[in-house]
Amino acid sequence: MAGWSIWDHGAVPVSGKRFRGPIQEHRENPETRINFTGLFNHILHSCSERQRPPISGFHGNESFPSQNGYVNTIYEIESGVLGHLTPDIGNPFPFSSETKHGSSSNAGALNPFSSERKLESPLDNYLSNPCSSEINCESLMKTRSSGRKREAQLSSDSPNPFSSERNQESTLNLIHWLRKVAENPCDPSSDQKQGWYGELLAQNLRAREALFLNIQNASCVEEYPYQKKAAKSSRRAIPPSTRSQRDYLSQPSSLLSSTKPDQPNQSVQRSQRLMTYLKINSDKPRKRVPVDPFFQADVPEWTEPSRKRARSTNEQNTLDDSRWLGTRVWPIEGLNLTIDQGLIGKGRPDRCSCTQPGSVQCARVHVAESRQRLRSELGPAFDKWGFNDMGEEVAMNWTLKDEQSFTSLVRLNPISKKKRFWMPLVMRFYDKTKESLVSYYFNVFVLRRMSFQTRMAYGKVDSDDDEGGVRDLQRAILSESYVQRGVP
Amino acid sequence: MDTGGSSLPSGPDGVKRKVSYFYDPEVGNYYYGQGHPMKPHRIRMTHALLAHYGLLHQMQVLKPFPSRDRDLCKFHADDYVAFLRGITPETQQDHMKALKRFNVGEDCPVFDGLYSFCQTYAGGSVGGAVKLNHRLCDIAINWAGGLHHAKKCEASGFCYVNDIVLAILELLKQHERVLYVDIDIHHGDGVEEAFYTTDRVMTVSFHKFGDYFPGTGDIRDIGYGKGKYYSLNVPLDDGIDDDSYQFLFKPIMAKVMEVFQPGAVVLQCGADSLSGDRLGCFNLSIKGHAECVRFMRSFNVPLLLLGGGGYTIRNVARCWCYETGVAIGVEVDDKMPQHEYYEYFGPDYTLHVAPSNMENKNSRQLVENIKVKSLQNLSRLPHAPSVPFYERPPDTELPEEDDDYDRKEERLESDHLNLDTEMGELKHSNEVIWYPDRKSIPSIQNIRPKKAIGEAELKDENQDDRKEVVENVRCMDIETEENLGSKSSEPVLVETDQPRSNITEP
Repeated sequence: MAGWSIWDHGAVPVSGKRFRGPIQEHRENPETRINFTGLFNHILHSCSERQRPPISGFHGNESFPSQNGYVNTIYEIESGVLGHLTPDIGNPFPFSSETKHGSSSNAGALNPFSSERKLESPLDNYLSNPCSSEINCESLMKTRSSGRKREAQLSSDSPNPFSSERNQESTLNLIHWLRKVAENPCDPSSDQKQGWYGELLAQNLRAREALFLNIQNASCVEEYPYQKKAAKSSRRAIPPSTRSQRDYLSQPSSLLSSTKPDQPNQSVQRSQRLMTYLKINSDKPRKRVPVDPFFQADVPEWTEPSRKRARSTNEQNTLDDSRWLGTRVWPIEGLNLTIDQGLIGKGRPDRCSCTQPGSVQCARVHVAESRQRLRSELGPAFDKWGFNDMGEEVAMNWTLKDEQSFTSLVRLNPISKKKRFWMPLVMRFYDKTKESLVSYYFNVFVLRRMSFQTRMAYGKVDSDDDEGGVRDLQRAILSESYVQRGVP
Repeated sequence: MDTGGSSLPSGPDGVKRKVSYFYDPEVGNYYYGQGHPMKPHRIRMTHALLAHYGLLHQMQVLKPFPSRDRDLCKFHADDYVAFLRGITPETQQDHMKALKRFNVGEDCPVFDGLYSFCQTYAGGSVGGAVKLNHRLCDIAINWAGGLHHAKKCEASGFCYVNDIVLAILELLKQHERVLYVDIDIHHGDGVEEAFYTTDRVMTVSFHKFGDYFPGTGDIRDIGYGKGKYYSLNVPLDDGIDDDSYQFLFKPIMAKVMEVFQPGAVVLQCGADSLSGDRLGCFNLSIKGHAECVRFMRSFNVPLLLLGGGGYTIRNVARCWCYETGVAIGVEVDDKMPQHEYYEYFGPDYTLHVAPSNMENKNSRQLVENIKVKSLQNLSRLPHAPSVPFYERPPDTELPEEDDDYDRKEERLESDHLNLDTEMGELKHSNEVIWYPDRKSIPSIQNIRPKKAIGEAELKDENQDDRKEVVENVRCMDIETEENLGSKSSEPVLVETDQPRSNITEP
């Protein structure tokens, strides 16, 4: 069983069943992931098929089979995006109905050549389903750039100064422009904010917003109403200039910190270091707390219990509560025991007069003495707390032969060999209760095993290593010298 | 014994508390199965140790009343409880669908007596809550409880029934606000989830975060709706030692106690945060772990101590025995008395074990940042929640209530991504307003919670904390300026800062 071996490493799989919704499954399917790096390279490569732009750090894929012009490149990219997104075109992401409508209306965009909306649809499609891929921060950065670059290429179809000539200069200009926009899409120094530029800007912001929402919304929206709202608001796509400052800052797009009024020109990077410090830069999608009466406890509103009402319900409550208080075992009513307060919290004496201090025999003697004292202190509570069934004395009810069988069965069925001793034990000791088997295991078997481990100087004593030292214990029990009946 | 706590003048910390301790003698014989790390036997070991240290004499010891179906259904779904009642190892093969549905099988196996085990440990926790409600004791202990992963209709992480939620629901009958603190190494997800949307229960969890079960407990998870800012998560990394832990625990809990003012506190003392735990990866000593108990005890608020995780069972028994001593006010000897399970504690047979020399991956910078962030979240808590407010006249310009929450949530989240915003707001909250400044919002100027204590006084009391936070912020600024290059050192004051306005939420 998968879960069992994991315990030993401490790392239990983080995916809970609750969160394994369609999104998660989709996210876990590598087929449906967007290859952002590839996309990015593809765009840049295609841009520069005639003249490689002098962008440092850019490594185009030489073997990329693209011989088309700009427009075709765009189509390829779109197909690429769609190709990766299409596996979940049935919209596994239960967005609001608004979004569902959006994605169905975009169905025609599957074929980029068949629709009038072919140029804008992929982005819309992508925006409508921003959570359809696993995106970590790193890939996000790349995506943001690639998205923006793609938009810039879209612009090459339109009458704009960069697309009229396909020469080296225009490519360079384009790349520079791209980089500029990529660095700071909201730079007010970019002279044109009207017309198609404004459109692009809005689209750009929308893309950025949606991509950032991805980090937040890495879970099933149906379970998280606040994210549903957020997703909705991300689709409003109001250009920042049309919003009031207050509105704008409180919208998710306030993520675009560079648009803050007091810092208009700063492109702000996120501190990877801080994110690491706060441990929020995990590659894994954030696991969110579901909000629904299905998950939360029903907490009544607080009302100051008025005396009248308190009296009427109190009788009932008192009955109920007195039961809840349980059975008092200690202090025993009517029994006046005098306890030496000086002994409270005291441990064992520093030394003993045994001939072999620290030996198994020595320990047994002192445990027996200690038990005797406890019995006299506790009186009837000794039995009530089950002290009769604690410690090695439990073996008193077992014959030597049974003890030997028990030890053998445990030794022969180690879990490390995918064997289980429980059923063989139950079958072998059909005349004993299961409780008595468990009791023997913890009170006698494990105790003796540890006693052996300690004294055989294995170096490491582990109360929770179920297998170590069993062979020696078995040998000792077989020799009969170890198991001495009765308490000395 | 200087505790550094915040004892009230009427009850100094040294005063003995009345302690009730719940123990069922059957609990040790429940067995999750071969190789399973969860061993209820550890509770029997703890009990034996307590008896031989003489600590039982100092407490009222009770055998819990087992919870009935309808008691468990106060939180759990009926069908889930019915399933737990009916399932046995023999019949589980016939209920594969239900097993899967309720997440029972692997981590949470079906074993003999499963349901009575649940009834027992839940009964102890609820019993403790009832004891506290009736003021029959100051501290109630149930080491069998604290199974914090269980969900409303799902088992999780060795937990079937969430006794903590049931106990808190019981405490809520008598107390307006209940605080839940979780020092298990795993995130207390079940409790957080159950009370994620209420302001009557605040949950605070200190846990290992990052590639670790259960995966929740992000510092950005702060609650939702009315419960916003009433969930606090303190994510930690491997190898945290006593000093780093207390560096976070004490100021955070002191602030929580001050701002939230709970009527009762539930402390889950999962012992898997101890050094050398079979499943854990922290490096706390028993004294460091128990310091949390000592600190929470020092507030003189009714306290429910519960067990939880802990998979190196001899250390669990050591820890809970020592913490029982802390609750009573007895410092127990290091040299363990000879008792039934003496041989489990070889070769030293001592109560305390030295922490390992493992690396503490929580750098000073990390813990300081976490502290700043946590205190920042706490600063957004209005004092004395759950107090009725006057209706605020509807403001047509304001978006609908839920949207408002959403935006705040987004903003908070964006803070993490956007360092600049974060720093700006942090300064804002520290230098301009630490506590919600109602006066700055004209429309709610006269609205004050009935219980609100003199704010000026509280502000003064927090001068030290504020200084500390501001200093930390400055440290972070230096850090971040390196990363950001040019950055305005002026605080970013955003008039539209929303969190303050949430005091107007009903």
